[in-house]
Amino acid sequence: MEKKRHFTPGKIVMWIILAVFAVIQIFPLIWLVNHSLANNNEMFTSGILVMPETIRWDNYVTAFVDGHFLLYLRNSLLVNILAVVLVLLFSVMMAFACTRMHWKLSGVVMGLILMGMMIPIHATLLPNYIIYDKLRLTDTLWALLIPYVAFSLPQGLFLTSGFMRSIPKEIEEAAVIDGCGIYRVIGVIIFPMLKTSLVTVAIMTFLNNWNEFMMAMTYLSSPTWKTLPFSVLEFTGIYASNYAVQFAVMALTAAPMVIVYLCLSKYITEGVAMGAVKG
Amino acid sequence: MEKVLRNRKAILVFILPGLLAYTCFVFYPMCQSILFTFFEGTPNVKFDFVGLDNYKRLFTDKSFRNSFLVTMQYLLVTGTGWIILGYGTALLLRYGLKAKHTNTARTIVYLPVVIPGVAAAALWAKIFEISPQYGLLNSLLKAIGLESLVRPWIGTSATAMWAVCIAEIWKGIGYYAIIFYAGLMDIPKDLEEAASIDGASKWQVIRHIVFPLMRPVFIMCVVLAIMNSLRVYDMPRILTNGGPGYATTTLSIYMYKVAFKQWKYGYGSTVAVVTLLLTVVFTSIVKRMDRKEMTE
Repeated sequence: MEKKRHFTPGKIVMWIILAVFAVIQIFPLIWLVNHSLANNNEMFTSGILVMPETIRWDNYVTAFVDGHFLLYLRNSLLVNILAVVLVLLFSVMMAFACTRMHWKLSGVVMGLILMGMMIPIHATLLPNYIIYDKLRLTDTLWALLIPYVAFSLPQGLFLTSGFMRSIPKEIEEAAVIDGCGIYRVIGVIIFPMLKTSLVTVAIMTFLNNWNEFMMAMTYLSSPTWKTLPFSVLEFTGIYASNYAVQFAVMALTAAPMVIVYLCLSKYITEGVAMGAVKG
Repeated sequence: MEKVLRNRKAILVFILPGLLAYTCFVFYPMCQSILFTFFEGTPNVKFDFVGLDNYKRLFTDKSFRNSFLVTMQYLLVTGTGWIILGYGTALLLRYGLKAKHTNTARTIVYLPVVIPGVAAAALWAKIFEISPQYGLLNSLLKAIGLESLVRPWIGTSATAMWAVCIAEIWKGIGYYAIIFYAGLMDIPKDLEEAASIDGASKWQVIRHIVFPLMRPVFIMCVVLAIMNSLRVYDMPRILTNGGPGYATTTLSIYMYKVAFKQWKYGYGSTVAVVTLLLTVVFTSIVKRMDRKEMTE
């Protein structure tokens, strides 16, 4: 196809739309970072963007220390990494049992679990609260880990069983004939072959749960296991008048995911698209 | 082979952990939620069977009616915003940009999606702010000489709902754009090339070839948009906490207030079940309409 270098009116209009759109998408974030580095008084006097006389990194120090940032980050990381590992493990095992192995109820079990994709968290919030309360699990790591795993399973199973169908059966058959046991078939043959597809499942699970707040707010009350979103909420209360610090804590809360995203953006956007198209 | 694949012990090992977690903490609670709608009081203490009273109450409860309408508005405004802007962005990414720019553009478009909902909501609260200082929006209006438009955007009922919807649209566009974009990339290039060789303009190609082929992706995005906008919680919770008054109280927020602030488990569950029903009804309507049109 030939290359054109003309600027037709249509092209100019399109570039303007694109530019405006890019600004709308990105400007609030620039504004956020800008204000997080300013002095609290400077913000009240100047216009849209502040030119801070000195860059106030101490806003971040305050946010870091008083926002329990490290503790909440550790909790978020722990819960989410464990959840991803368990979801991957359970999804692959269930997908294998449901799509490859022969037993009467496989269709029923699969249907039952896939139905879970339609169930909103709200519909289980109350009974789960009572269940966790009775099991004395509220305010523990389990109160988040269990629902995060359980709610991610339907999608995980759906995606992995879809991918698994594309693996030819002959490979496993050959392995079994060579004397390979069922557990080794999964661990040594199926898992490695699903590697790229499992990245999708991992990303979907991680993204969905990392920002989850409704369940965390319901099942947790003491700071021991609170996750990152809580820093923002607690801070707006404590530092109601210190805006710069509030901006710093927002930026800090968003930072881990933004950094991960910028490093893995290709995988993440592709993974999300694939997850949605298959789902 | 057959013997290995019928290994009952292995099947149990594979199925049980996941099935138990799902059944006990997703499926069973959902069934319990439905059961709760026929009771009122506190479970395990004094939980009385009230029959259909909770459902009857829905029809006389003004707050419920209000939050139902708010949710419908949310569904309509944010749903439409997500789909139209997401689709538009995807088309621009695919046909408006040179290949070397698409990756950067895609990264920017998707960025708001990865920001925690709570942080995004807090950020938008500052954007819409009026006192003690003007937020981004009001300072912008002042800077371009439209000071008459300066107002407490999330503090007045007239604008609060729109403000929450705009923030929610901003956060969600990227998600739908990425899905639409993936759909566009799946369209065989030779189809488009053949059409443009035959003299079709870019717009004609998009209208007559791309749009029809994108239909399944479009339907899927509509279903996702319905599910997501009915589930919405973080944005109105942090941005306005349902206020001012009940102006932005969605069904999810109302459910939370009834159940965890007024401690009416039965009635709270009824509201939750309504949300579940709405999801099922709306998504099946969309899917049915799709099937009908396909066969016509």
